Amino acid sequence: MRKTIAILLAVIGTWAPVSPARGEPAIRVAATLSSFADLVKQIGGDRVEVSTIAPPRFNPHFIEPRPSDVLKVKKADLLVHGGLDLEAWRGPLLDAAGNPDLFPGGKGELDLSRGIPLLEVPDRQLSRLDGDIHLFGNPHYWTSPENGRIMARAIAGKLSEIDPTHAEEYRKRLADFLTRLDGKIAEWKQLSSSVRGKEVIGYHNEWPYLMEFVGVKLEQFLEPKPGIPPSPKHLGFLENYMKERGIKVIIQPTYFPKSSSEVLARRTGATVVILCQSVKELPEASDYIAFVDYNVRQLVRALEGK
Amino acid sequence: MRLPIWILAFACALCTVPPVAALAETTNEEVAYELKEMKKALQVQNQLIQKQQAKIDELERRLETGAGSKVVYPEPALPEPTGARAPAPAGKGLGLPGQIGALLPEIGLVGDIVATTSEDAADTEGNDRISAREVELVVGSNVDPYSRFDASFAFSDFEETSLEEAYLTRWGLPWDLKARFGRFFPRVGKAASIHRDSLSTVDEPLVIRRYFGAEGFARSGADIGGTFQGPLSWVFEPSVGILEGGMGEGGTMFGTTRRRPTAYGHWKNYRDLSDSSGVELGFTGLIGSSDADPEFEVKTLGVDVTYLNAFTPTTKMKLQSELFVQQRDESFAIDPDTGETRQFDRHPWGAYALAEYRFAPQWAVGARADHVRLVDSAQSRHYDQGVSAFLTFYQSEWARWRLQFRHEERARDETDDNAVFLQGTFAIGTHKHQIQ
Repeated sequence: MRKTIAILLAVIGTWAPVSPARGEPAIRVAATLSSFADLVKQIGGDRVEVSTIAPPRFNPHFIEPRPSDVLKVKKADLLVHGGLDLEAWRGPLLDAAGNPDLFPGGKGELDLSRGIPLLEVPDRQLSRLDGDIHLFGNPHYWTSPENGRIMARAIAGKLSEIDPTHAEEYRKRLADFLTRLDGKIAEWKQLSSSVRGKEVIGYHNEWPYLMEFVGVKLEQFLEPKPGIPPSPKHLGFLENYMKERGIKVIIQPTYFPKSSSEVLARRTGATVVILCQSVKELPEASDYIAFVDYNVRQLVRALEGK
Repeated sequence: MRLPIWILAFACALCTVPPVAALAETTNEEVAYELKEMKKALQVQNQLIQKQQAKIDELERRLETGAGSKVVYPEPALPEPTGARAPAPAGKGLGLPGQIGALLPEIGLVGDIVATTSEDAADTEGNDRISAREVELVVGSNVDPYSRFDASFAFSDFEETSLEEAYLTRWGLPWDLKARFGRFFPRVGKAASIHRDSLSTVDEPLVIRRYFGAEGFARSGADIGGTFQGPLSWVFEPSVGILEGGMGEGGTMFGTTRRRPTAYGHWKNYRDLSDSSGVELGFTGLIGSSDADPEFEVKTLGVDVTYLNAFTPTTKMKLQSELFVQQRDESFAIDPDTGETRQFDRHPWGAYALAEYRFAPQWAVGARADHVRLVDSAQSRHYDQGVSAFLTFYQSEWARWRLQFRHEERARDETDDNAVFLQGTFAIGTHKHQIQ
């Protein structure tokens, strides 16, 4: 009997995540988005085992978590999420997983929106008349590399808190990441200086942080209101708006249908540019820096008419 | 005659002014020249602005990092993740001081309005009608760090108000198990265990209506379950529970008397096939009493299979089927007049198969086939069966319209019925869908 139990325990032990480098158990991290997962991996290195809930090619607002996602959260030591009202599915997922450490305020919960200077924080009472409302401000903050700095620091801080014996490793990886990021930020600023002040049209209001970074104006969207699909009347309005102002670029991520954007582009002679909302949404956005790099270069190229 | 000096001056001025055409030509040239100069100046200004902006960006960056031209992070601080947030919006403009809202439960209201036209003369709810079939008030909140309480109340313009759910969920139990206590939808198969607004069709599948009741299978009781990693990337979700006896409205699987509790168990097996597709295989077992006499048992075995595939972010397919087979101890009736014993089907069964395809962000189509052998039926045709086809339009995230045609062949009087439904489902407030 004891032998059987010992064999069972050994088998169960093989399922536990183990750092390949040292044979020490890794910190199990469940990240709601692939962008957060990549940052955790960059800071945590082989000390973390990261899983992602939302597939990067899907709209992060509308994910239907699966039983495998419930298991990821149940087994996690740390849940890294976007906070605010970005992931409406996060609450049911936490309820299903029933891991009290990851509940809001728990020791294994990291809300990356904390410390972010939020944009579009409502200054009036909102209602569903406003569409798919964001009560706490626009939640797509990770698209700006300036916020990438804040998120990376928060991740390093949380990993050090959970695993203080390896805090020095996290600090070094953070330093390395921030050095690389800052180098790229200067490059992106320089690159985008030629398109500052220009205007584009978006499908959904999910780019204010990136637009602020590159200095491009984005005030009109194919969705007449957030979450409300484009209507013929609204496309007519946008056609006039774009022609009056000479706007030649429409941006959208991969997960919205392109048909409405293409109709508008045909009517106005504009170009539809696919940007990424998440790391790994396209192969070119292989990690966080590549993700921002892809977005900035695509946008600048389109606005310069290349 | 001496002309006044001002007239002479005026004449001289006229002589020196070029003709109108010449004037226009000269002006256009000058304007063009000025425009060219202005464009040049503007270009210079823009270049200057860009240079200044680059300098400002660089200065801001230096200020933020506190470093010189070369950014170095010898000992980067690991700040607390709880940094300063932008102006806190909670309660702003709502007339509520910041955190009071956090103490209020989540409240949602789901309206299920159905217009029906049917041929069934025996339908007690009438034939051609529009009804507020169900307005569901959903309330829920965490009770403390260990538990959550959820309740839902169903209102209708045809039936009395009912308490659909009221249960406590307790997590953090040994082996990470979770328990529920109160009135809830037990994990019996798929369609019987979810709210109406989560169904793919206007009505429940026939096997659910005939065996479990017209509005699913909400019962009072307690259950316990958990999620575990199985081999070969399978996810296991076993659960067991004890429920009050009896059935939902019109259900025939168990007797109506709540004399003996019903025991149930469900084993859900799920496996991802890709990042956007998965397959689920579930087994359900139920044991309850067939009527007031608790000696007669009904044992039911259920099997459910679901395949989900989100081909693209806006197109997805669901294939689902469920089968329930009963074993009834009391499969006979004694005629009180003649004393004769009449035997019924001892192993009635029912099943459905459903296919749904969301082919565009706002549109989905689907079909369902039903067949169910009736419990204790004395009809020569002792089964009901039907087919349905439906079209769903998602007006927005919170409003949905569904048109459904249903053809049913019923054992009762061996009649057929054709019905058309137009359903509107609207949600306001906070409405969380449990993960299925």
